[in-house]
Amino acid sequence: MKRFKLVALLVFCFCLTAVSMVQAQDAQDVTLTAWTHDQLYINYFEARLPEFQALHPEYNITFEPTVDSAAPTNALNAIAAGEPLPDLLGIERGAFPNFMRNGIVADNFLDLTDRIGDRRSEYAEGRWTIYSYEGRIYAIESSLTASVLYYQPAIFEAVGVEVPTTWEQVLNDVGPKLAAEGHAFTFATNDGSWFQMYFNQRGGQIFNENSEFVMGDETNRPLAIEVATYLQQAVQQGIMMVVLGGDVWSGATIPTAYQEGRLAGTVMPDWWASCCLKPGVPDMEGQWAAAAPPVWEGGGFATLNWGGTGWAVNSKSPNAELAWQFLEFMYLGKESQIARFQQINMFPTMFEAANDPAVTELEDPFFGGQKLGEIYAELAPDVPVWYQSPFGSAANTALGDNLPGLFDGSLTPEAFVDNVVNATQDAIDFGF
Amino acid sequence: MSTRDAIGTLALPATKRRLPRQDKYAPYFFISPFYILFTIFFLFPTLFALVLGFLKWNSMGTPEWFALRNYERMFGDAVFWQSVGNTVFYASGSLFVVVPLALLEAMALNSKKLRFRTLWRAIYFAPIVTSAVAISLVFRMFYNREYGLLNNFIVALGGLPVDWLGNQGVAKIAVMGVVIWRWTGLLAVYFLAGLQSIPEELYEAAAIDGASSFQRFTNVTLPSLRPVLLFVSVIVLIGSLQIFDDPQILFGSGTPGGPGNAGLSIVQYLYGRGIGQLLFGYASAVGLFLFVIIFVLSLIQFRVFRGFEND
Amino acid sequence: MVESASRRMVSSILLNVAVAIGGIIMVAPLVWMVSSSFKPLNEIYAYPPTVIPVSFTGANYSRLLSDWPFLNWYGNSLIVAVALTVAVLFFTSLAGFGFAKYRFKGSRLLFVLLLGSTMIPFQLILVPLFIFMSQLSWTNSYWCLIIPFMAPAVGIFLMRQFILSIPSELIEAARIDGASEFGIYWRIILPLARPALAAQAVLTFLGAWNSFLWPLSVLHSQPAMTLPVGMASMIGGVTAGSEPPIGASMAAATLVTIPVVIIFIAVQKQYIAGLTAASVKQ
Repeated sequence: MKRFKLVALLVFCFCLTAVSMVQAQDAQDVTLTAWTHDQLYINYFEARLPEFQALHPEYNITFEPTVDSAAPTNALNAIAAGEPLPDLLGIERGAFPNFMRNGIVADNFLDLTDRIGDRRSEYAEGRWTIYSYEGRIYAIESSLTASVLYYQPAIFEAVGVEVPTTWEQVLNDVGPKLAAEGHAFTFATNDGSWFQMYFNQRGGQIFNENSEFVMGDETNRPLAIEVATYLQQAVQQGIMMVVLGGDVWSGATIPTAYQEGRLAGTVMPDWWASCCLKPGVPDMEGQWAAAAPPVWEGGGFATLNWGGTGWAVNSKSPNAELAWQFLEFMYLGKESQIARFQQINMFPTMFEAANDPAVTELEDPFFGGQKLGEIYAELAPDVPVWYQSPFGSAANTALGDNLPGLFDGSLTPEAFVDNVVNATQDAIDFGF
Repeated sequence: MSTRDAIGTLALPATKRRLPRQDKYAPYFFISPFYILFTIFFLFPTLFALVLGFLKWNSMGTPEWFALRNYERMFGDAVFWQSVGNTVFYASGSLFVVVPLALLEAMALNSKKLRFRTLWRAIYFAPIVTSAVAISLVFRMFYNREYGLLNNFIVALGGLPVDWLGNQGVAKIAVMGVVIWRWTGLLAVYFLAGLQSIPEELYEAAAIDGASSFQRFTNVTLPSLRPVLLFVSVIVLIGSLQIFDDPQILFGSGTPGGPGNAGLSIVQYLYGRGIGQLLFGYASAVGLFLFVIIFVLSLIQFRVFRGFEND
Repeated sequence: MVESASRRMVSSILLNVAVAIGGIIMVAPLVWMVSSSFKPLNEIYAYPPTVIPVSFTGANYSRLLSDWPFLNWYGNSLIVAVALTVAVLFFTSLAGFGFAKYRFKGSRLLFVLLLGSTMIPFQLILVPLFIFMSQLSWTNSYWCLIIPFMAPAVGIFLMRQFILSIPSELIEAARIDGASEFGIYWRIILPLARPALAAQAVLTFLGAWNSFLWPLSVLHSQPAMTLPVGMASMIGGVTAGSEPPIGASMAAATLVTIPVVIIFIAVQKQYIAGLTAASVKQ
């Protein structure tokens, strides 16, 4: 009898423990880590975290972001050193090629193609290919990155010019008039992606859909020379103001130039407004307006794009599933796409969201109540596609190295293009 | 065992006579911790570097034999040659500007006519202990095109602002400015020590012979300083070939080599390729290139310096 | 021809003025650094520049401490510098003693090896050491900042040179008294070598404090960074919604540089003696 009681007691204790363990698992503590170079994304994620938490009461979620301008590089170093990656990584478009090398992206991040499934066609295709490797999608784009012309109407009025519709108008008419009064139309910088913005709008491609290097071929080389010639002339006539790479993103050069009127406008993507324009000159609220960007008379797309950040999920993390659900919640679906635009001005890549009144009717006081969403929505169907390659960095670096020479005239446009093509081809031939 | 030891031994009472010399193995124990570390963390990587230079190994990939192709790539890369040219500029600037300046500085600080010597010495030598990163951050502000103090001064004096960090023509000069500020004091310390070891009598003798101060300089100071001058020159040369911190911070995160790589140094190139892009094999080849140059220069210093010691 | 009194006075005045002007140029960056760290951004940009801040503010410092893990950086730098200094002092003095006061087989060869190694620049082993540290998983930690650098060849020269000058009679006497060899090192050599140890300590500490290339290569995450790497991470990148970190970077630079400069001024003589002594290789 005694023994039976003892056994019963033990079984009872065991059951109690089991039950309490199960109950303890009811609110499992989870930390989701994220690395990115841009604080804006963190702001958005943190703002909507309570909503996501409410959808997953079985977890007690802590969000641990790290903002570091070298986030993608740090991730690559971590992979090389065998250190753990964060659950979520924001891979800037320019950094993605480095992840394409040696299949790094496939080894370390979730293949999202099937998880996205049929929803793929609801979004701009170009924004899927930009984070694709061997046909599989590994990251979700944050923004349409369609560019508009942000400008100061007061300056345009004072000089007596209308908003131009073509680049040729800018070079031959509007630009010189503005420059004569000491106003630049937009800025130029020695970043390869900046050049590619104009080149791709004109219809040129550095790599094709098979990641082959095509910038030097019969179609693309003339286009590249045409664009390079144009940019050189624009810079030398003061129509485009040269700003060094680092100063574009931080530093007072551009905001000061805006305030003093030396920079009358900027042709940049949607995220420029939230990352740099508004925070840079908050006192200029109401003095800005937006318009569709100029197009090339020779042909091309309605708008330019640059950058964007793709969010990828660490496939080796124990929290991979939850991290995917987090990303899915934050970035996919009409509601989230609209919320993202409202909060950090990253335009929806989803067509339905792009045309939703919540987006198109949004009046922005910074732009005098103008409805920016309308302009973006019109441009959305005609956004250039960028094809990536593992050698994307080599091309980008070669462009950045030679742009200062193009700007100050020491390189002819032909020499500029040839230098870039040769340097990139070298990198491809040697494998690095 | 010296005679003195032997005598001392004999003087001891028999019981305390000479303990067996236990120190036969002691020195090996003393130096082995050092040499173990040295072998693992210095010798082994050095040999590893020699091998790496012949491999194509990019971080995640598997290493493959690449023979001399790394060097082919290196000598065919326009950016590499730019970094070599820039580094030669820095080395020349250091040798022909910083060294004479440091000598002048040391002479001034050594002069009996100088008041507040301790104060000035402290001020001129303080840059030695400063962090290159911190100072470069300050100079970055000085050099800014829009609001930097340097351009403000220039404009106030009626000139045009210069884009110190953005113009390919002046970028290297901007770096030299920081280098001069940071290194002149260090070299002056060595010169000062050298100056202070010159016997007064030499100067007095020269003065009695009717030599002007300039002649005293050329006939007494310079010759006496020859070993120091040589030592300092080689230090500066080798140091300036390895320049990294100053341009890396001055030009910032976007283009650490400066506009169109106008300020890029060899070590910056090495770092960018090796650690930035994880091109291990290739960067090791660059490292070997740098090593050969520095090794040869060090050998020369050694020979010549030794030569002077035997004078 | 002896200089006339008036000529002497003129040259004296010229000298003092020249040195004063040079001195002002030398000290200007440091003064600017400190003063800017207490100024708001618009005053930093203002011209004519002010030496004493008109709108004195501590905001840069509070921003530095809140927006970046600056205290972590400071702690990391201190820990690394101190640990490395202690280790280097131990290993180099021990080995220096071995070379200075003992004759043993192979000592010449081993010493020449050390000499030769000083002609090898660190950049040659940057990549191999990086690979080595990665495979040991020592990156992003104190290990990789300390262990590989505990045996600097240059350090041995300094210690050996100094220990050579310690009278051998003291060592012999201690041996006769029955002291162990290590005891001789610990009780006789170390105390007597204090000046050399001090010089070595200062040089090593400073080297670790200001070291940049290697820590930059191996430290990826912000809280693990040392001061120079952390300061470098403050520049560049998208600073959305917040003003550029210029004042904060000046605050960081001040906190990194000024303590060292003050200590330097206090121990000026010893430090300079250490520098010149270290330059003597044989």
